[in-house]
Amino acid sequence: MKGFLLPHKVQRIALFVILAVLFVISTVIILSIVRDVPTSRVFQSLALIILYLAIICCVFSREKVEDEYISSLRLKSIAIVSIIALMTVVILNVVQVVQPYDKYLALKEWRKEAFWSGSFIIDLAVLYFLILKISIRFKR
Amino acid sequence: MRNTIKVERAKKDLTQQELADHLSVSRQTIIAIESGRFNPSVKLALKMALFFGCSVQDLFYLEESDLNSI
Repeated sequence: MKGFLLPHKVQRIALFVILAVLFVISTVIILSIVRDVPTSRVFQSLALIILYLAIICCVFSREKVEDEYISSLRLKSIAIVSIIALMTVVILNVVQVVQPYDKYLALKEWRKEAFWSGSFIIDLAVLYFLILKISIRFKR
Repeated sequence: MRNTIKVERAKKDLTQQELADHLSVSRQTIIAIESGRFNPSVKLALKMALFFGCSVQDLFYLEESDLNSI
């Protein structure tokens, strides 16, 4: 697993970038609410692209000491996230089927938006990273 | 599977971090192995045996329940 992961330094830089982008986004949103000025579409897109890239860099980077135990924790985290993703899809399918037709269509549209916009994958990546970090931190 | 790594480490008067540094693994790995939550690979087990100057069988041994479950 070590082979295709980015150096640990990348993770630190990416975490800093995530915090910086979140800070800038929240500041801009607050200012736009206070001054009643809408934020530009270019800014939103740029901020999201940087945020997504930083998250991907964070997820695909090594730990300080990347050994077989960390690799096993990575595999377990991937397994947990895969089960959660599968359960989400199955539960949504079941819920969708039992709904009345108009709600069924609305849910279908929402699912298309949620699953194909790419944010679902990013959510899973973040979840994987959190589970890995928590298991490294607390399995002592 | 149980192990005597904690005992061997105490004999050498090493901390978990020092042992981890010698074996080029993280401290979490040593903690997990010592507590029996993680079984190391053959390579790491051999490295440990070499470091402590004993055989792998001296470091790792099966319990009665392990033998029954195989």
